[in-house]
Amino acid sequence: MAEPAIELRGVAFRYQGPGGFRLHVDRFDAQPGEVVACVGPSGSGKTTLLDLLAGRRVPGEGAVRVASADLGRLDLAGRRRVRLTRLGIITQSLSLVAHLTALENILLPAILMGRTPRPHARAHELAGALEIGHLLGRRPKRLSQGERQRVAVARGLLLEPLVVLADEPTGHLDAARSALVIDLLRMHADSHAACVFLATHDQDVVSAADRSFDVRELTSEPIGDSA
Amino acid sequence: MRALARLAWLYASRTPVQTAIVSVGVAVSLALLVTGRVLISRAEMSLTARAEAVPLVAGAPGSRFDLALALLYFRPTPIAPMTMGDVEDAATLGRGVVVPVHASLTAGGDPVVAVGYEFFEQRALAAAEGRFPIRLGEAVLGWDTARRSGLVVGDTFRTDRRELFDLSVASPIVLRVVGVLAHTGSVDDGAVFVDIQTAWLAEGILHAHAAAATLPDDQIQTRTERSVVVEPTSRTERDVSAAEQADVHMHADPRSLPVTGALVFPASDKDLTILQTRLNGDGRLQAVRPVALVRELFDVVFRLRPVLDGVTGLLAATSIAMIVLAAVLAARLRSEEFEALDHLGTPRSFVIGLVVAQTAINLLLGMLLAGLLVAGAAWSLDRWLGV
Repeated sequence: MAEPAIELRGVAFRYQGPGGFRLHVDRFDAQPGEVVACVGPSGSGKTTLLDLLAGRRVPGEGAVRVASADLGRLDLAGRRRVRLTRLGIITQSLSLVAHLTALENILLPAILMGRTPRPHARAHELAGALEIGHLLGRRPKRLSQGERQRVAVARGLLLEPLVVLADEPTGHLDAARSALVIDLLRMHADSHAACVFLATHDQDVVSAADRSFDVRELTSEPIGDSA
Repeated sequence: MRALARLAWLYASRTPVQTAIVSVGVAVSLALLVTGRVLISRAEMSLTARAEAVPLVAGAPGSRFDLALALLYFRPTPIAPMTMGDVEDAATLGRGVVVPVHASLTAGGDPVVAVGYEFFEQRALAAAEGRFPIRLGEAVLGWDTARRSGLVVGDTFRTDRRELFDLSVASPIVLRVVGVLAHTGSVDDGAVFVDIQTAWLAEGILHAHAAAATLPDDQIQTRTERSVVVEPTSRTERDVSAAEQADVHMHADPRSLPVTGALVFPASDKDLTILQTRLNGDGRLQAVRPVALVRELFDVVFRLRPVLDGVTGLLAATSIAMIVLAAVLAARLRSEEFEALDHLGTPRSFVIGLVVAQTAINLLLGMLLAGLLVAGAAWSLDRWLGV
């Protein structure tokens, strides 16, 4: 059997602050080529779980292994390197750079890694698939929220990552455009044997996933006030 | 490194207002730091160079600085004239060449400088076109004057009216361009040179009598069989035609005619000392070494150097504080961008590099702009000094 794309063992993480909670995961695996949807109400820990998988947060206990990298054994720089080189990140806030055009935002991971020729073709291919090919010269402030979201999705898939971590990737989209994004993520998982891990409220996304789970199933202690 | 430079440049070029504000701030700070010193240094260089070219200037007693400014830079200064007799006396000492200079007129705002013919030889001036003036009413133009006015050899122009409401003051005279001096990069480029007698003609000391009987009626007040009374305002300018030149005369002792002063080119250092001593001897005249004047002037300026250094230090500290503040504010403005880069996994060193590169671009643009500002200030100073 292939090595899991995502592997959590005995992970414990305490979220400090107002409405804090404790996340505990005894065992969780996601396989290459699998689309996994994580659901749960706002504040239940979906984004925190994604941050743990992306190496932006470090658990107090346990091991997090993503795209063959044991994040617990890596320092901050090592975890950033894994994020840049092996993961595709699609954030809820979209995280677009205001002074770059849509095309430059999509190409940003390639620019940061010093790659240029092939990603251009890939960027145009993704933009075409997401129906934003005609918007590539615009900066984010001249795009609608839905268009920005599709730019963020294209950027997350640019370097054909082994693992895609997507936080509400269809949150700003209508049904037709949601379907485009879901199809593209599904296609990416199938064609690249990549694991797509989604945090979502969207039932269409949940239906399209190979499996789904409620993040509260992983939480050993009840969620705090804001959960 | 390439990615860093690319992203830094994209930010700078896509946020032109921010980039311009910071760069201009840096430029002004740097220019203020540098300009004072550059200007003093250039002024010293140019003033010294011109002063060194003329070993001694002589004139009537009064301000030494005014005398030097009038004779070296043709500036209108309130100095009493010396006489042509004094010039001739100095020349007869046989210790060097004494060149009379009379700078009392202007034409189109440019100084019209009347000089002895030796002036051109001693100042090593050459005519790019035509020749030097040798007759009454002839003029040779400095390079810049010719270019600015568009006058060429054969054209005529007139001197500026010296007094608009006093009809007793001689009216302007027409000057004929006979040459244009080669470019010198000195104050000579912005002047008009005429023979010394032309200046006296312009001042009304030399004159000719026109045949009143031949004047047209509109210039005649009354005409009888025995007399003709000419309108006082009939002649707004005087042109010394070839026919009139033979009739030019004066009613005074030629030795008493005024000149602003004289440039003295001694044959040797010893002659310089002797001439200076003799000219200063009886108190009727003064002889000044321009180089010594310039040194004296800059001794005073450099006495203020500690103050200048203090101001420079304060400016430098303010500039550095401003640059740091600009970098911090820029980093805050870009917090969303840095957050996005963090999500993607960009190394922290890269983000710091972006801030540094951004600051470097602003500094570089600021330095380029400061260079232009300083060059502009130096150019203006050169124009003002006539170098």
